[in-house]
Amino acid sequence: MNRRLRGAFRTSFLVLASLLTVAAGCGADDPPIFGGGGAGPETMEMTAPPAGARQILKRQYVNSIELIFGEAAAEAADPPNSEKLYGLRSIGAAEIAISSQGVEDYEAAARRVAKAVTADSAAFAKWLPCEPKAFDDASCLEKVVSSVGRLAWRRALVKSEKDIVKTLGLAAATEYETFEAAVEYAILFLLQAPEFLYVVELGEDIPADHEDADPRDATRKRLTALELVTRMSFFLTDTTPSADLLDAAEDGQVETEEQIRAVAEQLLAAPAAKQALSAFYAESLFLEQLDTKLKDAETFPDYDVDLARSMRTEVEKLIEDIVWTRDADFRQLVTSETAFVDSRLAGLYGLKNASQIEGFEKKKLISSQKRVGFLGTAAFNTLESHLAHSSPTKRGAFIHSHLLCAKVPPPPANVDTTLPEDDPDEPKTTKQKLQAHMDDPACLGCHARIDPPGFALETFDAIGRYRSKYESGLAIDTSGETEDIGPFADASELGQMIHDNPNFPVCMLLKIYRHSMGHLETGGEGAVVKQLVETFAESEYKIQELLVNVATSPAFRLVGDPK
Amino acid sequence: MAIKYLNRRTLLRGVLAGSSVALGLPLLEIMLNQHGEALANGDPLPKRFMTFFWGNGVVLQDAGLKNVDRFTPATTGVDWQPSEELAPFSKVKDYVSVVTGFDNPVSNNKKITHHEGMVLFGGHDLEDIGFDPEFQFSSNYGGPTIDQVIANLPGVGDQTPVRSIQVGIANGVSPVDGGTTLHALSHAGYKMPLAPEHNPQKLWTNVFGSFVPPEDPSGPLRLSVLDAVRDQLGSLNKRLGSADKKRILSHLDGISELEKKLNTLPPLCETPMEPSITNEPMPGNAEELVVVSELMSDLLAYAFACDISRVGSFLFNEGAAEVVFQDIGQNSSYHQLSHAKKNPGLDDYHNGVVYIMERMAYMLEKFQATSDGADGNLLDHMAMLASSDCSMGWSHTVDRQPMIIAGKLGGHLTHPGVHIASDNGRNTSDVLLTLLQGFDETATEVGSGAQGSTTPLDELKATAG
Repeated sequence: MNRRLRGAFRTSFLVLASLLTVAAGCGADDPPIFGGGGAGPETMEMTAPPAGARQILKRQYVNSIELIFGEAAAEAADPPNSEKLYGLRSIGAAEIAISSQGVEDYEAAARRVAKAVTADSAAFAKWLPCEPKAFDDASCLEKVVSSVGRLAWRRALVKSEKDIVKTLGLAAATEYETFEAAVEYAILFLLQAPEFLYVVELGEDIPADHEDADPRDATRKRLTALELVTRMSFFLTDTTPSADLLDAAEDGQVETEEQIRAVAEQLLAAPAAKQALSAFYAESLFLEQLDTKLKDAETFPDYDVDLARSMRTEVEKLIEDIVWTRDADFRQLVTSETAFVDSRLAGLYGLKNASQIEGFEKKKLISSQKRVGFLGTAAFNTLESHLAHSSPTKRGAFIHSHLLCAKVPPPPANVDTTLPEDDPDEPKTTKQKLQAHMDDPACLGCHARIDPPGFALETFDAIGRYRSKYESGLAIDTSGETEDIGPFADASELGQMIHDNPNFPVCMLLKIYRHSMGHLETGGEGAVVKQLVETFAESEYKIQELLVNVATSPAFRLVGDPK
Repeated sequence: MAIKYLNRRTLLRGVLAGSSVALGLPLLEIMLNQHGEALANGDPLPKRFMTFFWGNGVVLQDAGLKNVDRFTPATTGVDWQPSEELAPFSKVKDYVSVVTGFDNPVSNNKKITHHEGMVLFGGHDLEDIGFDPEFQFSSNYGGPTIDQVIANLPGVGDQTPVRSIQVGIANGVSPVDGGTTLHALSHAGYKMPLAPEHNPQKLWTNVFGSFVPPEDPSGPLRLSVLDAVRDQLGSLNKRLGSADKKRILSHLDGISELEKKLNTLPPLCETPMEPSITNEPMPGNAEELVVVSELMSDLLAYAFACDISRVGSFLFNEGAAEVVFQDIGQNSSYHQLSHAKKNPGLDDYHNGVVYIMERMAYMLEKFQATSDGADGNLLDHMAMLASSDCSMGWSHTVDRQPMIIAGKLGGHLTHPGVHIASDNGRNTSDVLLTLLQGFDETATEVGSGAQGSTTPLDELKATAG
């Protein structure tokens, strides 16, 4: 057997490895970013995440425009897409360079917003903080610039900055002889400026006697109050901080841990917080891929845009129910015996009276199908399947990678990746075919771990419909066992094993932690992450409390050298 | 087949007396000298460059399988006869060279399946292997790809309003890259992927639809806004660390590009009409791969002929992404099919390769049909480099990674085209250097270290004996 492939998955970074009971890996060596640390996190002081500048995400751009200018402008904006890096757009926004086309697209978006703001003259007059006396009314323009600028740039503009905007606006007003033109060109500048497009988090010096100061680390800084409320607002609500929140920061009301906690709780109470969490899970659980997911039309004639949309909505409603409606243990994501279904999903799941369902209703699932939680959803089973066939390997790899944060390595180079062909006289189940992986020592180390949880889900076809046996008539054996998950007889037991697996909540936590700062944790953050993991467990895995705890953790408010 | 263009309402008008120039003579007579062999100011006709990528390899012979090679031409030299998978190029064969048996120089410890084929397009290793903490399938490209190196040469990208054009056809996103390598064919540098545009309508707007007529006062006003934005970026830049500084420089670069465009008058030549399709994928609907790739090819031909841009890249399907070739009766993921080393499955895989080559051939035929200068066509003055992410889909190896090169590049490349075969795994980056020298005769190296090259492939040059 190939030595490199022997053994269990390695969680290949220092933080998680120190927190969890995970054995050695079946893949390549640790990537350098995580391999450098020496001492374990327990003995380490926190190394603050680097300071720097991050682009705001597309959805944060649109939401900010809505907050500042209203719905019509937000609808018109259509800024460029945010690229994912390492599974999260917030990391891409912190590390990937903007392209020339991106710069042009941002200009076009700003022009569309500016036009939308002035398009409806009655709405424009109502929106203006003053009544312009002339097309070149400089004092009214200054009022617009001050209020828009402060919300867009998340701080008050200094005089020289206001003068720049006014000069640009008045030049346009003179050219077109309208006040609208003045406002349009002021907006055009404010929205293209890096102060809007980037969240700049450079921090300020910490007084030596403050508890956040580290006498051995002179580079450590803390976010300014304005930087902190901006980071919190984008993390928890995906939008620019409100005027009230900026006031609070400027008035010194966001200094102590209690004050910071209060701000986080206040942000979480806003409807935008639900939308933000939903967008985060659409991204981190790959639900957004349902918007474009293809299936074989011959095998699944009923699969269409609406059904795919319903699948995505089901998961969003499940998360909403656990996190917001009931503020319950998030691990129910994988054990819930009820589901949110519309008539089409109810039909897909074989529920009674499916056609009578209006909108989405919470329904008990059919217990004999063993369909529970996220792994039982049509969304998950559709996403992690081929066009016509289910794929235990895809489903199992997702569970390991994205629910347990165990790194799944790629197949070794130059290896035969084909499965044995079908013999019509002697049909085989997918499990039997995949057994070939187990017989090949080059594949065994990983596939013995990847595939079994997928076997438990074989009773769900490539769009998540229940089947008691294969089309060939062969029975489906849903049982399996892996070293890291343990034994399970079927999908329902698999859900319970994931629920009970200590890696699962840590994995959910790490995704939120990374997203909050657009940053992959390093060994120096081990103690902070460990603390978060403990309080997450103490809270019985409440996501709302976790969000507040992340926002108030020292890693969130302290920064090191600029990256 | 869907209608590719809307009515003429969006057609850009030439600014000289409202006239536009007839199709077929895109590079304006007034821009050429009396003989049509050079530009009026004496400069030679512009050279263009593009790359073309398709995912999942071709059907080569696998030593362990003794299968039939369906890609490699049986003979080498100028008399090469198209194989089954190269048959689509029959109408442009004189302009096509095939290079086989060359090894992709990626470092052994940087191979992670599908990604490493991209090293061929720039001669830089992959970086950040496995940085995605949940997903070992991830990497970032280590440097600029060859199209961007050429676009940034003096006299190339700086001569046109659009420095380079990146198009994509199939919408499927590769599930095997948590980084950026596979999601773009063009990279301006490390962590600087240039996302391909999949929407023909948007591409039209980017390339043809955003020029400002001279009488429109918004042009100068927008330019003064950009001036002010540049100042803000400059002062932010001073406060940042080195990684962020690189990103701000890229942003500033984008500002300069936009300024250049705003400073350019609308093109005088005939421009295409705005396409009616947006190529948005919808669950349950097939992708219109033929229509979209033809449209994108047409738009590139117009852009090259009008000298709006001289550099492009064409990403047909991302490596390992889910795409289905329904036009040829397939209903399985092409990536899945590419794993078949024998039948059943191998014929479907092979048919998919042919299908992709037909799309590429359409593009080359379009370039051939587009006149450029007095007697020439676009292929006379351009070069295209095409390859994949692996040699053979079933093994994912990048040894013997096949390459297709098209065009005469103004007499730099040998014509008619040849089949060059290496039996000792010559470096694919040698081809990059050869192509680069067509734009910069002083170039002596390309790429970086062992992944780059200092030894051009002389047999590909016109001067070879």
